[in-house]
Amino acid sequence: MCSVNDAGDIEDLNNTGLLSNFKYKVLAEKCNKCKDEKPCVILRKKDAYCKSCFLTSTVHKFKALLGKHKLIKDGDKVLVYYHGGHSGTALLHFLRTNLDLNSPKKLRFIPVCLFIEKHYFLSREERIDNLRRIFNYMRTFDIPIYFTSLTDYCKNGFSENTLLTKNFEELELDNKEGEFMKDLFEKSESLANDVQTINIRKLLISCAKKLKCKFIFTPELATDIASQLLVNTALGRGSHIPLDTGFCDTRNEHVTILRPLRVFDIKELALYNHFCNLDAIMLQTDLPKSQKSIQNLIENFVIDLQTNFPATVTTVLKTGDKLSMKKNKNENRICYICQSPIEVACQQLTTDEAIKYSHQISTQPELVGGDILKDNFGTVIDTKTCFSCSRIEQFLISTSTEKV
Amino acid sequence: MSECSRKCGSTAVLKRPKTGDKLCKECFFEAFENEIHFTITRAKLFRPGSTVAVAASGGKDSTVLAYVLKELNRKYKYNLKFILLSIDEGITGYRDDSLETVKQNRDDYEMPLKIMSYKDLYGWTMDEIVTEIGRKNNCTFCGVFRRQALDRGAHLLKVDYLATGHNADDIAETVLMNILRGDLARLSRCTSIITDSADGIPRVKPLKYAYEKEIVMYAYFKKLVYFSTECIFSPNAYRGHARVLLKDLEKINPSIIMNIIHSGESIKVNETSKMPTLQNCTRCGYVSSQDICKACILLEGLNTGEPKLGIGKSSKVKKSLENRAKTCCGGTSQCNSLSST
Ligand SMILES: [Zn+2]
Ligand SMILES: [Zn+2]
Ligand SMILES: [Zn+2]
Repeated sequence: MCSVNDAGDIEDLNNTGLLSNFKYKVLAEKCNKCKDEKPCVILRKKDAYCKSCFLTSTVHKFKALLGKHKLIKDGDKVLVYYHGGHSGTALLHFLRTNLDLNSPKKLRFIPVCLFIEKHYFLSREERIDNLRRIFNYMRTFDIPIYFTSLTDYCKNGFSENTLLTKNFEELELDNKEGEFMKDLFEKSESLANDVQTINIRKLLISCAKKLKCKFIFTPELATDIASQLLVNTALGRGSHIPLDTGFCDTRNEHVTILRPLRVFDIKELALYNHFCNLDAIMLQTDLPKSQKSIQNLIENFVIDLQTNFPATVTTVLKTGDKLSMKKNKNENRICYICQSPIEVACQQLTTDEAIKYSHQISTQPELVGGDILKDNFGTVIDTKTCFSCSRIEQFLISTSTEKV
Repeated sequence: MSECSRKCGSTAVLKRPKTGDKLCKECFFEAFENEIHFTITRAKLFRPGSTVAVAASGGKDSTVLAYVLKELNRKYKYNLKFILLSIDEGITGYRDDSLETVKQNRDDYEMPLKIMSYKDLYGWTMDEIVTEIGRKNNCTFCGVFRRQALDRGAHLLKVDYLATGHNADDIAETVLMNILRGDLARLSRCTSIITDSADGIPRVKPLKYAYEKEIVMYAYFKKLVYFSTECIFSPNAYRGHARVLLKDLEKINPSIIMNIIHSGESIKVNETSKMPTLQNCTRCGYVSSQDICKACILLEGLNTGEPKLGIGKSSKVKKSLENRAKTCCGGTSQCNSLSST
């Protein structure tokens, strides 16, 4: 069939061009901003900046995003989730330099860093080595760092008593702890990744509470946000997009998660670190990448878009920013696994019902009788999970409903 | 292959992508048809006694739709009347065979057939348009015209409903596409099983939860005659991206298609976001987000020898239109006949 189907796809053709189809602009003589210095950076393929204007505008972008929301009060403690890479380094440097300012624009909250050990696929020696590097690295920024272990947290049934320590040598790092994670990944990589994301969020909030932090900074970049948005869509978590990709995640009443790097791309922050003479710590972050999971597939798709159609990535982010949470008639109905509101059906027939009906009719010897208008065909009325979490429920070793 | 999941004793011939269950041929027919019956009944798609135009392209989706509707209407006494409605874009060779297939549908399913051409509806065939503007932007024309063609046709036929063959894969793909191109208005309505058009003829999608793979299998096992063809012009870039992404995701797990439809259904667009308010085109009366609908703008361009009009920035179009004498649709009079009724 023609790709223009009956829905009639039309579009303005602004964003569809391949970058390589554009003629490259000759590098501008002067910096776009100060109109004086010779430019040394081109952003978004068009804005030429000199080094000093680039650094100023990068920091400004960071502070403008925080300033716009005005959530953090003077003296509040903020937990900074550090997991290496250029984004982590740039974030630490933004914080250090702006805490040290001698001007009214100075940042006045108190950052505390957290590193979550989840590298069960590495050898014990490699893991200790990583932890030591991070510990030493933090000293250059003079920000305290705490360590905790994700597998430890899961193994202990998501207990509040999971070890949170300044001394990385106290972490238990026997390779057995990764066994159950490996099991999960073998069953379904996509669901295992999803479970991991949910558990990290829970652990972050648990640690923030223990350290008396009202806020958490997480280091997702623009491409991470775009990926997450598409991952949410593919997992059936469309209604959670504002919580999972927006600037703030307010699901927990005590601790708010903020995403202060969501307006940056990796190139900007790598250049920032380069000009500030900062070396970033590169950790082997996850299992070897495969195309077998929704998350890895979409990450590669977005990286490809970023390279060839960067305007489309921006569009995806803007799409997400214009979505909001459905007004839930019954606000108390929160999924016990992901803490998001459970979807309320607002149409006569939902996808969930259609799936349940399909399954029933494909497994029962007799045709489904009864009243096709009223029977619920296995749809759970008082479900305790959202649509997506009903799939991962079986993957969780603990069904404890304790609140984080 | 293993035994049928319904324990009927027969050997399974396929594994259902939606649920993973394995079915024999007879059980598959029953399951597939009953799901569509479930969709129609549960979502209250049709009022008894209505006349339904079935959008017929000769392709697998519309062929299966027409066949199943006829079967279900007989079996469950919906008391519906059907008319096949086909659009002829006027692309040499493109519709010749598919229109033959539609005529076959007409005879096989004993449904009257109405073929409407772009020439009838707009005064131009696609071939003439391509001659005018070249192959670069012709998909814009074809898309805009096709979007309205079925609604205009349904209106002229004075039917109560327009049923289209959009399947689950199409809808999931459209959700992804609308995210990629930031079309919030379409994102929020593309998963609706019933959508209203301007003149009050609802568009319904009885195959919303039917997988493309199963539609193909159904047509194959039932030996239904359909025609498969690709448009000879170039595809839409966003739909292209969305299609590639969906096909890859489907390989990981076919249930992702249903997940995406669920996501689309549960997404809510921020009330403060600027959403184009739908109004009626001042020229043709068709539902539009602007004073003058895209089809009328494109026609204006074609009829005044400025075919690029409406392809570029919309502000430019507005200016250009303001400077023109206001002849409806450049004088084809097609538009007026609709708005006056
Ligand atoms: Zn949930
Ligand atoms: Zn069977
Ligand atoms: Zn019009």
